[in-house]
Amino acid sequence: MNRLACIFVLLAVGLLATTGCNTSQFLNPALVNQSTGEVFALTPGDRSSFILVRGNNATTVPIEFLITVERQVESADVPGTFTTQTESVRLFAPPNNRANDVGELFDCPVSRVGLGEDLDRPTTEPGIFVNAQAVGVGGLGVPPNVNPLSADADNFKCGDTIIFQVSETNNTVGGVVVQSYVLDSTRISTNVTGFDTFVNARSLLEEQQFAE
Amino acid sequence: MAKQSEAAPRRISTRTAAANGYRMSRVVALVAAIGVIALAGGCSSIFNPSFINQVAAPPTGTTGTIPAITLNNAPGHVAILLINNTRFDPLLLDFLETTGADLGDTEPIPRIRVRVNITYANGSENTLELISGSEIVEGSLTGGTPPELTEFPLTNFVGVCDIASVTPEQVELYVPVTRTTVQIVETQNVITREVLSEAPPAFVVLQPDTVDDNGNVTVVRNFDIRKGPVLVNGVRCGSVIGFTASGTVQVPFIQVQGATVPGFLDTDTAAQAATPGRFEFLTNVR
Repeated sequence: MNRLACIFVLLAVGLLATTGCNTSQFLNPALVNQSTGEVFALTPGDRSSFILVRGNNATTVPIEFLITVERQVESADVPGTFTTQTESVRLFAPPNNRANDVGELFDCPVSRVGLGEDLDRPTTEPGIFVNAQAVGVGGLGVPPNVNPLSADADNFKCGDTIIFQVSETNNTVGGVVVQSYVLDSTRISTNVTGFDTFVNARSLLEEQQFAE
Repeated sequence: MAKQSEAAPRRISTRTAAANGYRMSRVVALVAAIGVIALAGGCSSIFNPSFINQVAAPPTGTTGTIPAITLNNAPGHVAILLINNTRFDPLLLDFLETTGADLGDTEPIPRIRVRVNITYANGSENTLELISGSEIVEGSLTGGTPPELTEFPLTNFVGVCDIASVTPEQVELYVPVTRTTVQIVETQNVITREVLSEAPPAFVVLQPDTVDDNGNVTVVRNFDIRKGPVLVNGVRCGSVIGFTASGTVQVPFIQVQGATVPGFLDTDTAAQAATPGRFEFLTNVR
Protein backbone atom coordinates (compact mmCIF):
# COMPACT_ATOMS: atom_id res chain seq x y z
CA MET A 1 0.00 0.00 0.00
CA ASN A 2 2.85 2.34 0.95
CA ARG A 3 4.64 1.51 -2.27
CA LEU A 4 1.53 2.31 -4.30
CA ALA A 5 1.18 5.66 -2.54
CA CYS A 6 4.85 6.45 -3.20
CA ILE A 7 4.45 5.66 -6.90
CA PHE A 8 1.37 7.89 -7.08
CA VAL A 9 3.12 10.79 -5.36
CA LEU A 10 6.19 10.43 -7.58
CA LEU A 11 3.98 10.36 -10.66
CA ALA A 12 2.14 13.48 -9.56
CA VAL A 13 5.41 15.30 -8.75
CA GLY A 14 6.84 14.22 -12.10
CA LEU A 15 3.81 15.52 -13.97
CA LEU A 16 3.89 18.82 -12.13
CA ALA A 17 7.61 19.19 -12.74
CA THR A 18 7.28 18.60 -16.47
CA THR A 19 4.20 20.71 -17.04
CA GLY A 20 4.92 23.57 -14.67
CA CYS A 21 1.72 23.08 -12.69
CA ASN A 22 -0.31 23.67 -15.84
CA THR A 23 -3.02 21.06 -15.40
CA SER A 24 -4.37 21.55 -18.90
CA GLN A 25 -1.23 19.90 -20.28
CA PHE A 26 -1.94 16.55 -18.74
CA LEU A 27 -5.68 16.76 -18.21
CA ASN A 28 -8.27 17.30 -20.94
CA PRO A 29 -8.19 21.10 -21.39
CA ALA A 30 -11.97 21.10 -21.83
CA LEU A 31 -12.32 19.49 -18.41
CA VAL A 32 -9.92 21.97 -16.82
CA ASN A 33 -11.78 24.84 -18.44
CA GLN A 34 -15.02 23.70 -16.85
CA SER A 35 -13.51 24.08 -13.40
CA THR A 36 -11.21 27.07 -13.87
CA GLY A 37 -12.28 28.85 -17.08
CA GLU A 38 -8.66 29.78 -17.73
CA VAL A 39 -7.90 27.68 -20.81
CA PHE A 40 -10.45 28.87 -23.38
CA ALA A 41 -12.37 32.11 -23.55
CA LEU A 42 -15.85 31.83 -22.06
CA THR A 43 -16.97 35.21 -23.35
CA PRO A 44 -16.08 37.01 -26.60
CA GLY A 45 -14.83 40.05 -24.66
CA ASP A 46 -14.44 43.59 -25.90
CA ARG A 47 -11.66 42.83 -28.34
CA SER A 48 -13.72 40.62 -30.64
CA SER A 49 -16.79 42.91 -30.77
CA PHE A 50 -19.24 40.00 -30.59
CA ILE A 51 -21.83 38.88 -28.14
CA LEU A 52 -22.30 35.14 -27.84
CA VAL A 53 -25.86 33.87 -27.37
CA ARG A 54 -26.15 30.21 -26.45
CA GLY A 55 -29.15 27.93 -26.14
CA ASN A 56 -28.76 25.09 -23.68
CA ASN A 57 -31.19 22.20 -23.90
CA ALA A 58 -31.34 20.53 -20.48
CA THR A 59 -34.42 18.47 -21.39
CA THR A 60 -34.73 14.99 -22.85
CA VAL A 61 -36.37 16.11 -26.11
CA PRO A 62 -35.02 18.11 -29.08
CA ILE A 63 -35.51 21.87 -28.74
CA GLU A 64 -35.28 24.57 -31.38
CA PHE A 65 -34.32 28.04 -30.14
CA LEU A 66 -35.51 31.12 -32.01
CA ILE A 67 -33.06 33.81 -30.91
CA THR A 68 -33.59 37.44 -31.86
CA VAL A 69 -31.37 40.45 -31.38
CA GLU A 70 -32.28 44.08 -31.92
CA ARG A 71 -29.98 46.87 -33.01
CA GLN A 72 -30.59 50.60 -33.07
CA VAL A 73 -29.52 51.90 -36.47
CA GLU A 74 -29.43 55.56 -37.40
CA SER A 75 -32.03 56.38 -40.01
CA ALA A 76 -30.64 57.36 -43.41
CA ASP A 77 -33.71 59.47 -44.15
CA VAL A 78 -33.93 61.43 -40.90
CA PRO A 79 -30.46 61.97 -39.34
CA GLY A 80 -30.43 61.80 -35.57
CA THR A 81 -33.29 59.34 -35.38
CA PHE A 82 -32.90 55.62 -34.91
CA THR A 83 -34.79 52.65 -36.24
CA THR A 84 -34.81 49.16 -34.78
CA GLN A 85 -33.31 46.39 -36.89
CA THR A 86 -33.91 42.80 -35.89
CA GLU A 87 -31.90 39.68 -36.66
CA SER A 88 -33.25 36.23 -35.85
CA VAL A 89 -31.68 32.78 -36.04
CA ARG A 90 -33.02 29.31 -35.47
CA LEU A 91 -30.75 26.87 -33.63
CA PHE A 92 -31.61 23.22 -33.27
CA ALA A 93 -30.39 21.50 -30.10
CA PRO A 94 -30.80 17.73 -29.73
CA PRO A 95 -30.97 16.47 -26.16
CA ASN A 96 -27.64 14.62 -26.35
CA ASN A 97 -24.79 15.70 -24.14
CA ARG A 98 -22.57 18.41 -25.73
CA ALA A 99 -24.73 18.64 -28.86
CA ASN A 100 -27.40 20.16 -26.62
CA ASP A 101 -25.47 23.43 -26.39
CA VAL A 102 -25.76 25.63 -29.48
CA GLY A 103 -24.71 29.22 -29.99
CA GLU A 104 -24.41 32.10 -32.39
CA LEU A 105 -22.12 35.12 -32.51
CA PHE A 106 -23.78 38.47 -33.16
CA ASP A 107 -21.93 41.60 -34.16
CA CYS A 108 -22.03 44.45 -31.67
CA PRO A 109 -23.73 46.74 -30.93
CA VAL A 110 -26.86 44.90 -29.82
CA SER A 111 -29.57 46.66 -27.83
CA ARG A 112 -31.82 43.74 -26.85
CA VAL A 113 -31.60 39.93 -26.91
CA GLY A 114 -34.39 37.46 -26.38
CA LEU A 115 -36.33 34.48 -27.63
CA GLY A 116 -39.08 34.71 -30.26
CA GLU A 117 -39.39 36.94 -33.30
CA ASP A 118 -41.14 39.75 -31.47
CA LEU A 119 -39.22 40.65 -28.33
CA ASP A 120 -42.10 42.76 -27.04
CA ARG A 121 -44.29 39.68 -26.67
CA PRO A 122 -42.30 37.14 -24.60
CA THR A 123 -45.46 35.65 -23.11
CA THR A 124 -47.31 35.04 -26.36
CA GLU A 125 -44.75 34.73 -29.19
CA PRO A 126 -43.17 31.25 -29.61
CA GLY A 127 -39.50 31.41 -28.71
CA ILE A 128 -38.70 27.73 -28.38
CA PHE A 129 -40.06 24.72 -30.22
CA VAL A 130 -40.36 21.61 -28.07
CA ASN A 131 -39.78 18.25 -29.77
CA ALA A 132 -38.67 19.86 -33.04
CA GLN A 133 -37.51 17.46 -35.76
CA ALA A 134 -35.02 19.79 -37.43
CA VAL A 135 -34.49 23.49 -38.03
CA GLY A 136 -37.86 24.99 -38.91
CA VAL A 137 -39.54 21.58 -38.91
CA GLY A 138 -42.13 20.53 -36.35
CA GLY A 139 -42.22 21.10 -32.64
CA LEU A 140 -44.63 22.78 -30.29
CA GLY A 141 -44.07 26.53 -30.26
CA VAL A 142 -43.87 27.73 -26.68
CA PRO A 143 -43.55 31.32 -25.43
CA PRO A 144 -40.33 31.66 -23.44
CA ASN A 145 -41.94 33.67 -20.62
CA VAL A 146 -38.56 35.33 -20.12
CA ASN A 147 -38.24 39.03 -20.73
CA PRO A 148 -35.64 40.09 -23.29
CA LEU A 149 -32.33 41.32 -21.92
CA SER A 150 -31.61 44.97 -22.54
CA ALA A 151 -28.24 46.67 -22.89
CA ASP A 152 -29.80 49.97 -21.85
CA ALA A 153 -30.81 48.42 -18.53
CA ASP A 154 -27.26 47.05 -18.09
CA ASN A 155 -28.44 43.46 -18.36
CA PHE A 156 -25.51 42.80 -20.72
CA LYS A 157 -22.93 44.57 -22.82
CA CYS A 158 -20.81 43.88 -25.88
CA GLY A 159 -18.48 40.97 -25.23
CA ASP A 160 -20.75 39.08 -22.83
CA THR A 161 -22.16 35.59 -23.18
CA ILE A 162 -25.90 35.15 -22.78
CA ILE A 163 -27.32 31.70 -22.19
CA PHE A 164 -30.95 30.61 -22.46
CA GLN A 165 -31.41 27.29 -20.73
CA VAL A 166 -34.51 25.17 -21.21
CA SER A 167 -35.27 22.57 -18.56
CA GLU A 168 -38.20 20.33 -17.85
CA THR A 169 -40.84 21.22 -15.32
CA ASN A 170 -44.43 20.41 -14.55
CA ASN A 171 -47.55 22.48 -15.01
CA THR A 172 -46.26 24.59 -17.92
CA VAL A 173 -47.02 24.67 -21.63
CA GLY A 174 -44.75 22.13 -23.32
CA GLY A 175 -43.48 20.97 -19.92
CA VAL A 176 -40.48 23.27 -20.05
CA VAL A 177 -39.21 26.41 -18.40
CA VAL A 178 -36.65 28.88 -19.76
CA GLN A 179 -34.08 30.77 -17.71
CA SER A 180 -31.60 33.36 -18.89
CA TYR A 181 -28.04 33.77 -17.68
CA VAL A 182 -25.37 36.35 -18.39
CA LEU A 183 -21.62 35.82 -18.20
CA ASP A 184 -20.09 39.22 -17.64
CA SER A 185 -16.96 39.51 -19.77
CA THR A 186 -15.39 42.08 -17.44
CA ARG A 187 -15.55 39.68 -14.49
CA ILE A 188 -13.90 36.79 -16.31
CA SER A 189 -10.19 36.59 -16.93
CA THR A 190 -9.22 37.06 -20.55
CA ASN A 191 -5.75 35.61 -20.01
CA VAL A 192 -6.47 32.25 -21.55
CA THR A 193 -3.78 29.69 -22.23
CA GLY A 194 -5.56 28.00 -25.15
CA PHE A 195 -6.92 29.33 -28.45
CA ASP A 196 -8.81 32.59 -28.18
CA THR A 197 -11.79 31.39 -30.22
CA PHE A 198 -13.61 34.67 -30.59
CA VAL A 199 -10.66 36.87 -31.48
CA ASN A 200 -9.63 34.24 -34.04
CA ALA A 201 -13.17 34.24 -35.45
CA ARG A 202 -13.09 38.02 -35.83
CA SER A 203 -9.68 37.99 -37.53
CA LEU A 204 -10.77 35.19 -39.89
CA LEU A 205 -13.83 37.20 -40.90
CA GLU A 206 -11.79 40.34 -41.47
CA GLU A 207 -9.23 38.49 -43.57
CA GLN A 208 -11.61 36.43 -45.67
CA GLN A 209 -14.76 38.49 -46.10
CA PHE A 210 -15.11 40.87 -49.02
CA ALA A 211 -15.76 44.43 -47.93
CA GLU A 212 -19.47 45.18 -48.29
CA MET B 1 -35.91 33.70 55.81
CA ALA B 2 -39.31 33.38 54.37
CA LYS B 3 -38.52 36.25 52.05
CA GLN B 4 -35.26 34.60 51.13
CA SER B 5 -36.91 31.27 50.59
CA GLU B 6 -39.47 32.97 48.37
CA ALA B 7 -36.87 34.91 46.51
CA ALA B 8 -34.60 31.95 45.90
CA PRO B 9 -37.08 29.90 43.90
CA ARG B 10 -37.96 33.05 41.94
CA ARG B 11 -34.32 33.42 40.92
CA ILE B 12 -34.11 29.78 40.05
CA SER B 13 -37.29 30.14 37.98
CA THR B 14 -35.82 33.11 36.09
CA ARG B 15 -32.69 31.13 35.29
CA THR B 16 -34.76 28.23 33.99
CA ALA B 17 -36.77 30.50 31.73
CA ALA B 18 -33.62 32.07 30.34
CA ALA B 19 -32.06 28.68 29.79
CA ASN B 20 -35.20 27.41 28.14
CA GLY B 21 -35.34 30.50 25.87
CA TYR B 22 -31.69 29.95 24.91
CA ARG B 23 -32.38 26.33 24.11
CA MET B 24 -35.45 27.32 22.10
CA SER B 25 -33.53 29.91 20.07
CA ARG B 26 -30.86 27.30 19.35
CA VAL B 27 -33.52 24.91 18.14
CA VAL B 28 -35.12 27.59 15.98
CA ALA B 29 -31.71 28.52 14.55
CA LEU B 30 -30.95 24.86 13.88
CA VAL B 31 -34.30 24.35 12.14
CA ALA B 32 -33.79 27.53 10.11
CA ALA B 33 -30.30 26.41 9.13
CA ILE B 34 -31.60 23.02 8.07
CA GLY B 35 -34.35 24.77 6.12
CA VAL B 36 -31.86 27.02 4.32
CA ILE B 37 -29.58 24.07 3.56
CA ALA B 38 -32.55 22.05 2.32
CA LEU B 39 -33.64 24.95 0.11
CA ALA B 40 -30.16 25.45 -1.26
CA GLY B 41 -29.64 21.75 -1.69
CA GLY B 42 -32.65 21.30 -3.88
CA CYS B 43 -34.89 19.66 -1.26
CA SER B 44 -37.50 22.31 -1.82
CA SER B 45 -40.15 19.73 -2.57
CA ILE B 46 -40.74 19.26 1.15
CA PHE B 47 -42.01 22.82 1.49
CA ASN B 48 -45.18 24.46 0.29
CA PRO B 49 -44.47 25.40 -3.36
CA SER B 50 -46.13 28.79 -2.91
CA PHE B 51 -43.76 29.56 -0.04
CA ILE B 52 -40.75 28.34 -2.04
CA ASN B 53 -41.78 30.53 -4.94
CA GLN B 54 -41.79 33.59 -2.70
CA VAL B 55 -38.33 32.81 -1.39
CA ALA B 56 -36.60 31.43 -4.46
CA ALA B 57 -38.12 33.32 -7.39
CA PRO B 58 -35.40 35.08 -9.39
CA PRO B 59 -35.52 38.88 -9.42
CA THR B 60 -37.75 39.99 -12.25
CA GLY B 61 -37.41 43.45 -13.69
CA THR B 62 -39.21 45.17 -16.49
CA THR B 63 -36.31 44.55 -18.80
CA GLY B 64 -35.04 41.12 -17.95
CA THR B 65 -34.83 38.21 -15.60
CA ILE B 66 -31.39 37.31 -14.39
CA PRO B 67 -31.28 34.56 -11.80
CA ALA B 68 -28.52 34.81 -9.28
CA ILE B 69 -27.63 31.15 -9.74
CA THR B 70 -25.01 30.21 -12.30
CA LEU B 71 -24.27 27.46 -14.81
CA ASN B 72 -21.11 25.42 -15.09
CA ASN B 73 -18.36 26.89 -17.22
CA ALA B 74 -18.39 25.80 -20.84
CA PRO B 75 -15.57 23.36 -21.57
CA GLY B 76 -14.53 25.69 -24.40
CA HIS B 77 -16.04 26.59 -27.75
CA VAL B 78 -15.58 25.80 -31.42
CA ALA B 79 -16.85 28.39 -33.89
CA ILE B 80 -17.92 27.46 -37.42
CA LEU B 81 -18.24 30.34 -39.89
CA LEU B 82 -19.72 30.59 -43.36
CA ILE B 83 -18.15 33.41 -45.35
CA ASN B 84 -20.12 34.15 -48.50
CA ASN B 85 -18.02 35.94 -51.09
CA THR B 86 -20.09 34.89 -54.10
CA ARG B 87 -21.46 37.45 -56.52
CA PHE B 88 -24.07 37.67 -59.28
CA ASP B 89 -23.11 38.03 -62.92
CA PRO B 90 -24.13 41.60 -63.96
CA LEU B 91 -26.06 40.16 -66.92
CA LEU B 92 -28.15 38.13 -64.52
CA LEU B 93 -28.78 41.18 -62.32
CA ASP B 94 -29.89 43.16 -65.37
CA PHE B 95 -32.30 40.39 -66.32
CA LEU B 96 -33.65 40.23 -62.76
CA GLU B 97 -34.28 43.96 -62.82
CA THR B 98 -36.33 43.63 -66.02
CA THR B 99 -38.57 41.07 -64.29
CA GLY B 100 -39.35 43.49 -61.46
CA ALA B 101 -37.12 41.89 -58.81
CA ASP B 102 -36.45 44.12 -55.82
CA LEU B 103 -32.67 44.43 -55.86
CA GLY B 104 -32.56 46.88 -52.95
CA ASP B 105 -30.05 49.66 -52.42
CA THR B 106 -26.96 47.48 -52.00
CA GLU B 107 -25.67 44.84 -54.39
CA PRO B 108 -27.52 41.60 -53.67
CA ILE B 109 -25.49 38.59 -52.59
CA PRO B 110 -26.34 35.08 -53.86
CA ARG B 111 -28.01 32.91 -51.28
CA ILE B 112 -26.08 29.79 -50.36
CA ARG B 113 -26.95 27.02 -47.94
CA VAL B 114 -24.36 24.64 -46.52
CA ARG B 115 -25.50 21.59 -44.59
CA VAL B 116 -22.93 20.75 -41.95
CA ASN B 117 -22.79 17.67 -39.77
CA ILE B 118 -21.06 18.03 -36.41
CA THR B 119 -19.87 14.93 -34.59
CA TYR B 120 -18.85 15.21 -30.95
CA ALA B 121 -16.21 13.09 -29.25
CA ASN B 122 -18.88 11.35 -27.18
CA GLY B 123 -20.74 10.27 -30.34
CA SER B 124 -23.47 12.94 -30.23
CA GLU B 125 -24.34 14.60 -33.53
CA ASN B 126 -26.02 17.75 -34.73
CA THR B 127 -26.81 18.82 -38.28
CA LEU B 128 -27.21 22.46 -39.12
CA GLU B 129 -27.73 24.57 -42.20
CA LEU B 130 -25.55 27.61 -42.53
CA ILE B 131 -27.39 30.13 -44.71
CA SER B 132 -26.13 33.40 -46.13
CA GLY B 133 -27.24 35.79 -48.86
CA SER B 134 -30.05 38.02 -50.07
CA GLU B 135 -33.71 37.19 -50.52
CA ILE B 136 -33.77 37.85 -54.23
CA VAL B 137 -35.95 36.13 -56.82
CA GLU B 138 -37.28 37.09 -60.24
CA GLY B 139 -40.51 39.09 -60.20
CA SER B 140 -40.40 39.33 -56.40
CA LEU B 141 -42.21 42.67 -56.44
CA THR B 142 -45.29 40.99 -57.81
CA GLY B 143 -44.79 37.33 -57.06
CA GLY B 144 -43.69 37.54 -53.42
CA THR B 145 -40.78 35.77 -51.79
CA PRO B 146 -40.76 31.96 -51.81
CA PRO B 147 -40.66 30.32 -48.39
CA GLU B 148 -37.17 28.87 -48.81
CA LEU B 149 -35.81 32.41 -49.08
CA THR B 150 -37.51 33.61 -45.93
CA GLU B 151 -35.58 31.19 -43.71
CA PHE B 152 -33.46 33.10 -41.23
CA PRO B 153 -29.78 33.34 -42.21
CA LEU B 154 -27.26 31.52 -40.04
CA THR B 155 -23.74 32.62 -40.85
CA ASN B 156 -22.00 31.10 -37.85
CA PHE B 157 -22.45 28.47 -35.18
CA VAL B 158 -20.75 28.05 -31.83
CA GLY B 159 -20.66 24.61 -30.27
CA VAL B 160 -19.03 23.45 -27.05
CA CYS B 161 -16.06 21.10 -26.87
CA ASP B 162 -15.26 18.36 -27.59
CA ILE B 163 -16.14 18.37 -31.28
CA ALA B 164 -14.53 15.49 -33.16
CA SER B 165 -15.32 16.40 -36.75
CA VAL B 166 -17.14 18.95 -38.89
CA THR B 167 -18.39 17.68 -42.24
CA PRO B 168 -19.88 19.94 -44.92
CA GLU B 169 -22.35 17.54 -46.52
CA GLN B 170 -23.66 19.60 -49.42
CA VAL B 171 -23.62 23.13 -50.73
CA GLU B 172 -26.72 24.56 -52.38
CA LEU B 173 -27.17 27.82 -54.23
CA TYR B 174 -30.43 29.58 -54.92
CA VAL B 175 -30.90 30.20 -58.65
CA PRO B 176 -33.28 33.17 -58.68
CA VAL B 177 -34.50 32.78 -62.28
CA THR B 178 -36.50 30.25 -64.27
CA ARG B 179 -34.23 28.21 -66.53
CA THR B 180 -35.79 27.21 -69.82
CA THR B 181 -34.74 24.11 -71.72
CA VAL B 182 -35.26 24.67 -75.43
CA GLN B 183 -35.44 22.09 -78.21
CA ILE B 184 -35.06 22.62 -81.93
CA VAL B 185 -37.99 21.27 -83.87
CA GLU B 186 -38.00 20.77 -87.64
CA THR B 187 -41.42 20.70 -89.25
CA GLN B 188 -41.74 20.57 -93.06
CA ASN B 189 -38.23 22.01 -93.49
CA VAL B 190 -39.01 24.84 -91.04
CA ILE B 191 -36.79 24.93 -87.97
CA THR B 192 -38.27 26.45 -84.82
CA ARG B 193 -37.24 26.65 -81.15
CA GLU B 194 -39.76 25.42 -78.67
CA VAL B 195 -39.83 25.31 -74.89
CA LEU B 196 -39.25 21.76 -73.70
CA SER B 197 -39.32 22.39 -69.94
CA GLU B 198 -38.90 25.10 -67.35
CA ALA B 199 -37.11 24.82 -64.01
CA PRO B 200 -38.51 27.43 -61.57
CA PRO B 201 -36.28 29.40 -59.16
CA ALA B 202 -34.95 26.97 -56.54
CA PHE B 203 -31.94 25.85 -54.54
CA VAL B 204 -29.70 23.56 -56.58
CA VAL B 205 -26.93 21.39 -55.22
CA LEU B 206 -23.53 22.46 -56.52
CA GLN B 207 -21.66 19.57 -58.13
CA PRO B 208 -17.95 18.81 -58.43
CA ASP B 209 -16.47 18.29 -61.89
CA THR B 210 -16.75 14.79 -63.28
CA VAL B 211 -13.31 13.22 -63.68
CA ASP B 212 -12.05 10.00 -65.19
CA ASP B 213 -9.91 7.36 -63.45
CA ASN B 214 -6.79 9.43 -64.03
CA GLY B 215 -8.27 12.58 -62.51
CA ASN B 216 -8.81 14.32 -65.84
CA VAL B 217 -11.91 16.49 -66.00
CA THR B 218 -14.49 15.04 -68.37
CA VAL B 219 -17.44 17.32 -67.52
CA VAL B 220 -16.98 20.80 -66.09
CA ARG B 221 -19.58 21.40 -63.43
CA ASN B 222 -19.64 23.85 -60.49
CA PHE B 223 -16.31 23.39 -58.73
CA ASP B 224 -12.94 21.69 -59.10
CA ILE B 225 -12.68 18.49 -57.06
CA ARG B 226 -9.66 20.05 -55.29
CA LYS B 227 -11.57 23.21 -54.44
CA GLY B 228 -14.61 21.83 -52.67
CA PRO B 229 -15.50 22.08 -48.98
CA VAL B 230 -13.62 19.48 -46.98
CA LEU B 231 -14.14 17.54 -43.79
CA VAL B 232 -12.31 18.81 -40.71
CA ASN B 233 -11.28 15.97 -38.44
CA GLY B 234 -9.77 15.98 -34.96
CA VAL B 235 -10.96 19.50 -34.16
CA ARG B 236 -9.03 20.97 -31.23
CA CYS B 237 -11.00 22.73 -28.56
CA GLY B 238 -11.07 26.50 -29.08
CA SER B 239 -10.62 26.29 -32.85
CA VAL B 240 -12.38 28.33 -35.50
CA ILE B 241 -13.44 26.63 -38.73
CA GLY B 242 -14.29 28.82 -41.69
CA PHE B 243 -15.88 27.81 -44.98
CA THR B 244 -15.35 30.56 -47.52
CA ALA B 245 -17.34 30.37 -50.76
CA SER B 246 -16.41 32.49 -53.75
CA GLY B 247 -17.42 32.57 -57.40
CA THR B 248 -20.01 34.05 -59.72
CA VAL B 249 -23.58 32.96 -60.29
CA GLN B 250 -24.04 32.74 -64.04
CA VAL B 251 -26.72 31.31 -66.27
CA PRO B 252 -26.58 31.12 -70.06
CA PHE B 253 -29.19 33.03 -72.06
CA ILE B 254 -31.04 31.74 -75.08
CA GLN B 255 -33.51 33.18 -77.58
CA VAL B 256 -36.86 31.50 -77.75
CA GLN B 257 -40.13 32.74 -79.19
CA GLY B 258 -38.80 36.24 -79.69
CA ALA B 259 -37.45 36.70 -76.16
CA THR B 260 -34.05 36.25 -74.54
CA VAL B 261 -34.37 34.18 -71.37
CA PRO B 262 -32.07 32.22 -69.07
CA GLY B 263 -31.80 28.73 -70.50
CA PHE B 264 -30.06 26.33 -72.84
CA LEU B 265 -30.62 23.89 -75.65
CA ASP B 266 -31.61 20.41 -74.57
CA THR B 267 -28.58 19.07 -76.43
CA ASP B 268 -26.14 21.45 -74.73
CA THR B 269 -25.15 19.21 -71.83
CA ALA B 270 -22.04 21.28 -71.11
CA ALA B 271 -24.10 24.43 -70.45
CA GLN B 272 -26.55 22.50 -68.31
CA ALA B 273 -23.75 20.96 -66.24
CA ALA B 274 -21.98 24.29 -65.72
CA THR B 275 -25.13 26.12 -64.53
CA PRO B 276 -25.37 28.03 -62.13
CA GLY B 277 -21.70 29.04 -62.32
CA ARG B 278 -18.22 28.27 -61.14
CA PHE B 279 -17.24 28.33 -57.46
CA GLU B 280 -14.41 27.68 -55.02
CA PHE B 281 -14.51 26.72 -51.39
CA LEU B 282 -11.73 27.37 -48.96
CA THR B 283 -11.71 25.60 -45.61
CA ASN B 284 -9.79 27.33 -42.83
CA VAL B 285 -8.94 26.01 -39.39
CA ARG B 286 -7.24 28.15 -36.78
